[in-house]
Parts: sequence; C-alpha cells; structure tokens
Amino acid sequence: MASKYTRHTDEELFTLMVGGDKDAFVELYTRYRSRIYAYALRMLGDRDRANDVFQETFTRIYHRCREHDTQMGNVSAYIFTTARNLCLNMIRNTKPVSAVEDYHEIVFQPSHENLELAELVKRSLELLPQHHREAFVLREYDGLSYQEISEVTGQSLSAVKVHIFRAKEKLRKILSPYLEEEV
Amino acid sequence: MTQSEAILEYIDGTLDHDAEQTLFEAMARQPELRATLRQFVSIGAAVHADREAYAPPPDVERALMANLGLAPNAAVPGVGPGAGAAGAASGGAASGGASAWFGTFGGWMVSFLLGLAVAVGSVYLAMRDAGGSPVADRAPSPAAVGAGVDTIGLPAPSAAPLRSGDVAAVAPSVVEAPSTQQGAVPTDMASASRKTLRARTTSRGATSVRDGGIGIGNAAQTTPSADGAAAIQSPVVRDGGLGSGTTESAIPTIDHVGLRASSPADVRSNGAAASSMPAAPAAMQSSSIDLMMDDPEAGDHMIIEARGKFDKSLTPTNARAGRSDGGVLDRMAFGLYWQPNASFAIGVEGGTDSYDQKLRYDTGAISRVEQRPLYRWGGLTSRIYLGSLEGIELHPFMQITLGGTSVGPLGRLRVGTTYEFGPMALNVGAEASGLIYRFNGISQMSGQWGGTFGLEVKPW
Repeated sequence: MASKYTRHTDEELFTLMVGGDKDAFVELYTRYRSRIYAYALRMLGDRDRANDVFQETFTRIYHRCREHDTQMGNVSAYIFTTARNLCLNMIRNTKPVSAVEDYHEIVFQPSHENLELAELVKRSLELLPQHHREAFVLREYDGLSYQEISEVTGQSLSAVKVHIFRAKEKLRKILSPYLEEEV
Repeated sequence: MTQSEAILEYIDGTLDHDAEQTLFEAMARQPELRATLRQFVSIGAAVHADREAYAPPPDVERALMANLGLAPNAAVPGVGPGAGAAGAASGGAASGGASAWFGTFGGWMVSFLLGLAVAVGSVYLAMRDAGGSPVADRAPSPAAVGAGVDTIGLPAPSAAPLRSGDVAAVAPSVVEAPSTQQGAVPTDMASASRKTLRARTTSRGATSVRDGGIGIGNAAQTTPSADGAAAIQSPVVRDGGLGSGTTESAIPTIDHVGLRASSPADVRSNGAAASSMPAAPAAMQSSSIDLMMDDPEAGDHMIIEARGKFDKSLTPTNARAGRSDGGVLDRMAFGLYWQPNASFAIGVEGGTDSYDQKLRYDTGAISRVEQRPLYRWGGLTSRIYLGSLEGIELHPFMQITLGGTSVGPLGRLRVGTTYEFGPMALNVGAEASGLIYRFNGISQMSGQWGGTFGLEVKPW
C-alpha cells in the first residue's frame, strides 16, 4: 500500500514531522534510507561503521526535528549534512586502513580477478582522498546535483566539479587495467 | 577544458553543442578517447549496479525502528513489501467506515465493557458477601444452617444441624478464650461487641475455616469425641449460613459476623472441652492465630492512589524503551477508588507503561521489528480486600483492572497489601499485566510483571 505522503515534498514531510507525525518520518526515511546508507558505506568503507552512522543519522533527525521550526529550507541537504558530519567524526577518529600507495597491490590481487567491477570500484574508492571520494559518492551513488553537493559539503560549485572530475579520473586510472580487459 | 573533462560533461549531459561536436571529432580520430569514454561509462554502470550499497542490513533497520519506538501502525513502507499494508492492518484492517471506526475504538470499547462487567460483578459479590443486611437480621433457615456446617474430620453426629440451644450452650467458650488472654473474662456475650474478635481454639484434628465466614455464636459446638473429651466442632459457618433466630439470643451485640478470614485459616482444637479452654497452657495459645473482622464503619470513602513500579518483560526484546524513557516517571499510575465497605473498592486508574513488541513482517527484507513503545493506559478496576492482620494494620488485597491503550486492550492483576496510618496508607505489591495488540492482521500479546509501591490518601 502506498503511503499517504508519497506526493508530499521533503519539506512538507519535515513540517509534519515537527508536528509529531510519525508516518511523515517513515516516508522521509523511505526516501533516503538507501542513499544515506550508500553514502555512509562508501564513505567509510566499513559496514559496521556505516551501520552506526546510518542509525545515528535517522535517530538524530527523528529527535531533532522537534527542536526546529516548522520550516526547513532544504531537507535533503540537512539529512546528508547530518550523515556527513557523523562520517567525518568517525573518519577523524579512525586511522586509514590502507595507504594510497598500496592501491595497485590491493586492487589487483589475484583473488580479486573474479570480482565484479562494482567491487573494484568500491575498493578503489577507499584509496581516494576524502574530498574526492565524498564528492564522487554524493554525485554517483546518491545522485545529487553539483549545487546540492555544494550545499552539503559547504564547498564552492567549481571546487565540487573539480573534486568529482579528479575522483573519476583517478578511479579510471586505478581501474584501467581491468577496464581495458572488460571493454 | 581537457578532453577527459569534456567526456565527463558529455556523460553528465552538460556539454554544450559545439564542444560536443569537437569531442566527437576528436574521438573519431583517437581510439584512446573512445576507450576513456567507455571506461567512464563502465564505472558509472558499476556504481549503479552496486546493490549492496543501497540495502541497509535488516537487523540495522530493525534496531533503528526499535530505538525510535515507532508504534505498530507506523510501519516502514518500502522496507518490506508487506509492510505498508501491515501498518494499515494494525488499525484493524479497516475496510469501510465502520471497520475503521472499530479498528480505532474497538479495543477501547471492548475493554470498557469488560471492565464494566467485572466492576459490576465485583460490586454484586462484595455487597452480597458484606451482607447488605447483617447476618443477625436474616431469617433463620434450617437448610442454610445445615449447609453452613463444615463436618470435615468429625464424627457423623457432629454433622447435625445446629440448634439454637447448642449454640447458646457453647458460645461462651469462644468468647472466653480471648478474654482469658486479655485477663478480663466477659460476663456475657455483650462484651463481645467489639469489632475485633479473636478466635483462639485448638483441636487435635485440624478443622478448617472456610469461605471466610466464621459464625461467632455458632462457632463452637461441644461434641463428644472418640476419647470421651469434648471436641470443638468445626467453627465454620458460611457467611450468612446461620440465621438470626439461632444467634440473636447468644450474641445480641455482634452486629456483623462475617469474619474476613483470608481463606482457609486453620483453627485447632486440642480436644479439650470448651469450658477448659481458659486454662489452656501458653503453648497452646501461641499456636493460635488472630483473625480480624470487618469493620462495618471502614467503608464508604474515596481513595486516591499514586504508585510506581519496576517491571520485567514477559516477552522480552532487544529494544530499548521508546520515546521518553524517563525511568520511574514512565511507570507511574494513578487511581481513584470508591470503597463502599471494608471488603472491596471500585474505581478507575491509568498511567503510562512500556510494552515490548515483536512486529512480524510476512514478506520483505525485514522479518521482524522489535520495539518498546510507551503507552498511556486506563481502565476500570476492582480491588478486593482479603482480610487484615490485627495490630500491624496490614490489609492484603487483590486488584483486577481491565482497560486499554491506543493499540489494544489491557489487563492487570495485582496483589499487595496496604499499611494504614491515619488517613493515608502505603502499599506494596506485585503486578502482572498484558497488552493485546494487532499488527499485520495478527493479534499478539505483550506482558510484564514486577513490583509496585504506592501511596494512598483517603480525603473523605
């Protein structure tokens, strides 16, 4: 059965949430659960930590909506910013798992030969600088526009474009041996 | 703009027409540019094929929903294909206005009717037990007298119906016993007009007191025993079983003979004649028990109660308490009772409570959601006092409440005791409760048990 709020905008749902409407939260959660989880998982590269960020993001949104005014200008940016801050906190408190210079060894180990390209992309993402990885994930995984990424990250539009381009270019170079075989 | 940037903008659809034509011409000449385009497209396709990234683990979503304390009807559409319907079903699978109305208010209505039935039944039983009119006022009925005599463990002759003469002959033995202990032997039955009567008798053969109704004057009947000693026949007469014609002459001043013995209290007899009881040794007296009669003036007042509790779920989940987990404040209950007599009270009560719930999904990625939402509950209640212990002012009681919450009916069973001091009383007890709720078309039950502690006030 379709939710009664499927035609409501995110902002309208948030206003209903402020008024205590739990169904509005459920609808908002349904819209963003996949994207927030993808963002957390690909940003952190670790399922356990992504799980924590995912839960904490929606828990904070659920509880904090009552502290806000009834109007929220950009709910999408608010949700992603909440997830982003949690991810950054977690990244700050965690040492990198692998250094960038090891990426050839990691990506092209024989055991990975049979992995699908998606798995290779995931592993390659972990090798990118944080700003590049974040911009790429928001753009490719979450489908945000350059402008939305700019609002979420607080960076200029041109900086966002540069980060995304460099991320894609670096991924292409990392994966080029595999991609040449595939293509 | 580099050629790679142009390729990415082309993929994004943001490359203008002139730049696009330039890029196509370059790719036609340079195979490596075509390979670059294919690689970027492949990466994009791989990202969108990364289904793992878009699927939060079911257990994570369960934990999230549980922590948020969402109510059963706040299902998560999309999480499981049946979840949306499940949420609607929690309201009673409403199809049509009447069904929707019943789904919303049916639980309350059924709860109210059940509570009303219990309350009315309790009032009727209590009024009957209390003797809307004192036993002494009732017409004598030989059949009733006979039926009221318990003959357990006694020889056949003792089972004969009591006669007024028998009662008159032996009644003093009952009254003298406590008098001996107190050092003041009453000269007549009028001295037994105090509200508390102590039945101190002993017997070799255990004789039970039943039905909480011990007839005063008829409580003892001298009956020759096998060894020639007089034995006290079972001092048991069911409430109201002895008519006034039997007892009025013997116990003219006792206006209420319904002894609220809390269930089977054994009264023993040592086989000695009733007349010898005042001389019974101290050891015998120490084996006796005190029973307290109802105070006919103890009723007809209001009671206001506030209580807290600590509980443990009978259907535990991994969920934390939902919403405002404010500890004891989330476990408070308040009651308002009318106590028409010392035997029972009736009233309303309500409070807040959390119940563990396991919401099952039939299909979808999530098979079950656990949560522990906080509910406000209310209902009709009936409290039955089981008796009292003299000297320490303890009044054990049993209380039944039927009511409801916003998701379904609720029942509570509580046993405890009050300790009175002046117009106030403290109470402690144990309580078990159950909540019936519906989710996804399935009725389920959540229960808990624990201890209660409260304060009562009798303002008037």
